[in-house]
Amino acid sequence: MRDGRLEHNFDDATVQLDITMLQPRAYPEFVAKALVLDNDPFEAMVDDDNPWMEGFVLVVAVSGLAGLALAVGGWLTAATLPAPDAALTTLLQGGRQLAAILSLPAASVERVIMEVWALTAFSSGYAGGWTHLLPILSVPGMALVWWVFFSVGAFGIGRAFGGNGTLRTTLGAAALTVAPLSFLLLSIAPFAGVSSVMLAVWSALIGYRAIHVAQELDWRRAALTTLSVYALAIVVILLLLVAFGLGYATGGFR
Amino acid sequence: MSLHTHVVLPGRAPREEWTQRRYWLPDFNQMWNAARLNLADALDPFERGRITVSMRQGIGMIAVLGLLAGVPTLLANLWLGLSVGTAVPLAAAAASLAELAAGYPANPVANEVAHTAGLLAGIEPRMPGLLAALLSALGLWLNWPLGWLANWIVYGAVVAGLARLMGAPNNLQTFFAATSFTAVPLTLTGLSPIPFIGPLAVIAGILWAFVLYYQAVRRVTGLDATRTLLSVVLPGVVIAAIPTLLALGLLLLALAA
Repeated sequence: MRDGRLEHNFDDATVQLDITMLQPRAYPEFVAKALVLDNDPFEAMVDDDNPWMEGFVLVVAVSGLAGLALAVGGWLTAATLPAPDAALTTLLQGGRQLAAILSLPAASVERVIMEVWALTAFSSGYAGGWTHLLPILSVPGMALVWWVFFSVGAFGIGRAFGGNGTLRTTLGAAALTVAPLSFLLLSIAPFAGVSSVMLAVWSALIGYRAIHVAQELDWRRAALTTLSVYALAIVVILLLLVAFGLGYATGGFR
Repeated sequence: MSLHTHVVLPGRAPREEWTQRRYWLPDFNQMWNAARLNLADALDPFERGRITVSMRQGIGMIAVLGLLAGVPTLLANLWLGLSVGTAVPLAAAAASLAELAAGYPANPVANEVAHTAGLLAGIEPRMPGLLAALLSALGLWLNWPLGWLANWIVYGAVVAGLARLMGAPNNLQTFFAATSFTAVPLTLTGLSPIPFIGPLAVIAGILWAFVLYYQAVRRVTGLDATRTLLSVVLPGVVIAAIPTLLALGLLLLALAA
């Protein structure tokens, strides 16, 4: 026994068996293998002593790095642009000229520019302040919510389709659905953008593989389970939007 | 299960496989064969009777060829950004709007918009202009492989699903590995900044890529020509139909109003 590894010498070969728990240093390999839909990382997560804890750490680690890259990338992007005050002054000046040409009231054009500016500058972090740091919290937060939602949904629906995995193993395998977030590390470069559709579809493919392995379902049922979880997510989001709309319409949030 | 279980043979030290080029990319001959639409040799160069190229190699190939195709645009962007001393998107917007205004000299709106964009591009960025141009050009360059990867995965997932529903026995890894060779003819689209030749190269690259994609899907799924064509074309038709239907709906609503 040496450094957590069991070694045994045969006549012409040395067999090494790693009997330690999974280590965070194995995560890059897991993420890389999950991206190419390899079975190994899913089986390793399912067979782990503590799959949900391993999954939790993996989700936080990958999404935390992605959030950090987005935050730094947003800050760098804002730094490549002119100072917001100077840019806004130029835009307002142009707006006034345009209003004069089109015989529109200058005040209305200015108001529209100010409203669009406020929304864009806040959502993109261009205005500065703490909004740059938002992805450091929002990306891991959303990733954790999605991981739990996907795992619980996949467990329930998978069981209904005849799967025999436990919630713990499903949580472990489904944690790998965050693997595509690793592409967000490239967002550190200003104006480099990762397609959110790609992230969603790639994550769905990995989720399909996770359900296939964790629930031991055939491809058709695993695919149906994956699609059902996504459909459920859409329904939940729509319900939340309707609830927000109703609340807003009845005078809330004002 | 452990990922660290391995056998070390005497006299043969374990090699760091991931440091080798072949781990990440198919070899040049495979790409050349794919370009010649000889997919049999591209996907199975050692004639083992199965597809030996991996999805990992596919991702590597798309990343490398995407970056390669983006080089002419990168150079053009660097030229533009460095000459203005600002971020490339601002400089590009100002340049294209100025070009548009020059085409319509009598239009005061176009002139005013171009003038404002020019003023915006002329404001000193918060970081040194040289650095802003360099970093923004680099970011836009990275969008080439990222865009290709997005198209490959999103379109491929739908095509693979349709093919499977039509009876294809393929698995996803093999499917994506085979279709990744579409990146080879798409390299031609990188010539787009070149006047006159650029648009022709883009059209040729897309048509060539479509033929290669069709062949790759057919080979990997084993479906007949009709079902392969349906699998390949249907997602594109649906993607094109959705905005068209939305636009038609909006038009009808506008007419009704």
